[in-house]
Amino acid sequence: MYVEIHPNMADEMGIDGGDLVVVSTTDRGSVLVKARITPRPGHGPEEEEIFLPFHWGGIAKGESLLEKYPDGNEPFAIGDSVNFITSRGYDVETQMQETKAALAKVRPATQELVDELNMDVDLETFTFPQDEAGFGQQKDFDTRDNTTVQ
Amino acid sequence: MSTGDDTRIFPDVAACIDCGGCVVACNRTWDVPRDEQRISISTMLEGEEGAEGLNASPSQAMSQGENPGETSVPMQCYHCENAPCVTVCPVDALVKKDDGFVDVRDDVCIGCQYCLSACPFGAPQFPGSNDGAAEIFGTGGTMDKCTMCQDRQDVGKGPACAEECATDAILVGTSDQIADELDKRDSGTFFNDDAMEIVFGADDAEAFGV
Repeated sequence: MYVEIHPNMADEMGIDGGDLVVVSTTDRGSVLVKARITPRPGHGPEEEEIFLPFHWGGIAKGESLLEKYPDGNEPFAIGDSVNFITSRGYDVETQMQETKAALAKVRPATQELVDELNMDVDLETFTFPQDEAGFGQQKDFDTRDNTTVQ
Repeated sequence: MSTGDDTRIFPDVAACIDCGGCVVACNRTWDVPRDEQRISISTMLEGEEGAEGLNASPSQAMSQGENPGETSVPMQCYHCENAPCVTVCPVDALVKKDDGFVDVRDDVCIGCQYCLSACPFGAPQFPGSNDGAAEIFGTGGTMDKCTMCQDRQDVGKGPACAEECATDAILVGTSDQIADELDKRDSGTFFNDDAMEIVFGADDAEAFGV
C-alpha cells in the first residue's frame, strides 16, 4: 500500500520514494504505508494533496493479519487499508459514507511515532511479502529518479 | 475484429489508462511467473499535464512537437513484419511464421539475449536467471515472450490482454482494421515512422499515414 506525494512536499519532508510514512486523518486513526513520489496529485494548494488507493488489506493499523486468512488464500501483496482512516462524515439523506476525501497529515515513520500510535510494528524488521519476493518494482516509487520502467 | 492469420496487435496509446488489467490477464491466462512481463505498461512523463488542448491526444502532441503529458503505452511483442529479433537471432530460434505470428522455438534458443538488444519494444523476457554475468553475456535461459495468444486465436478468441482491456486500448485485427479504428478514434499511432515500418512493414504502414 502506498501514498502518492508530490515531489515538492517530499522535498520538504525529506522523504524518498519507498520510505515508510504514517498517514493520519483528523479523528479516525493512522495507517503505515510506503511513499510514492510523483507529481500526479499536484493540483491542491501548494502541491499538498495526497492520494491513496483502496483495495488493500492484510494489515490493520500496522499489524499483519496474514495468519488469519484460510490456508492458501493469503493475499500476495498486502498493506494497510485506507478505509481505516477515511472521514466519519456521511450524507444525511442517503446515509452514503464519505470515503473519497479527508483532511490528512503525513509524517515520516519513526519507531517513536508508530509506538505512540499503538502500531504493533518493529520498523527494523518490518517488510512486505511483495518486497521480499522483489515483486511490484516495475513502477518507480520515486519519479524523480527518472529510471527506466518496464 | 478478426483473429487468426495475419492478425496484428497494436496499442491505442490515447486510450490506455495504466490500470494493469492486461498484465494480470496475461499472467493469469498463461500462468507465467509473477515477475515476468509478457506485457507491461510503460508510463512516461508521469503526473505531467500535456500542452494546452492536447492533454488526452499524445500522438497529435508528439507530431506537433508539444508535450504529450502523462502517457502510458502497453508494451508487448507486436509480431513485427520486419522483426529485428528474427534478423539477429544467430540460431534461427525466432521465426516469423507464414500466419504472421513471431514465434520463439524454446528447444533451439541458446539464451544469447541478442533479441533483447534488437527489440525496440522490450518484448523479450528471460524468466531464468537474468542477473550479474547473465545480463552481459547472455546465459539467462531461454527467451519467452508474448504469443499474441495463438492458442486462443485458434479457437476464435482474442488475445487475453485485449479482451480484458477496460478501455479497448489494445487493438486486434488486420493492419487496415487497426488503422481505420485509430483514425475513427482520432488517436494516431504515437510510434514514429521507423517503428511503424518495423511493426507493419513499409507497405502496410502506409495505411497509418507513414
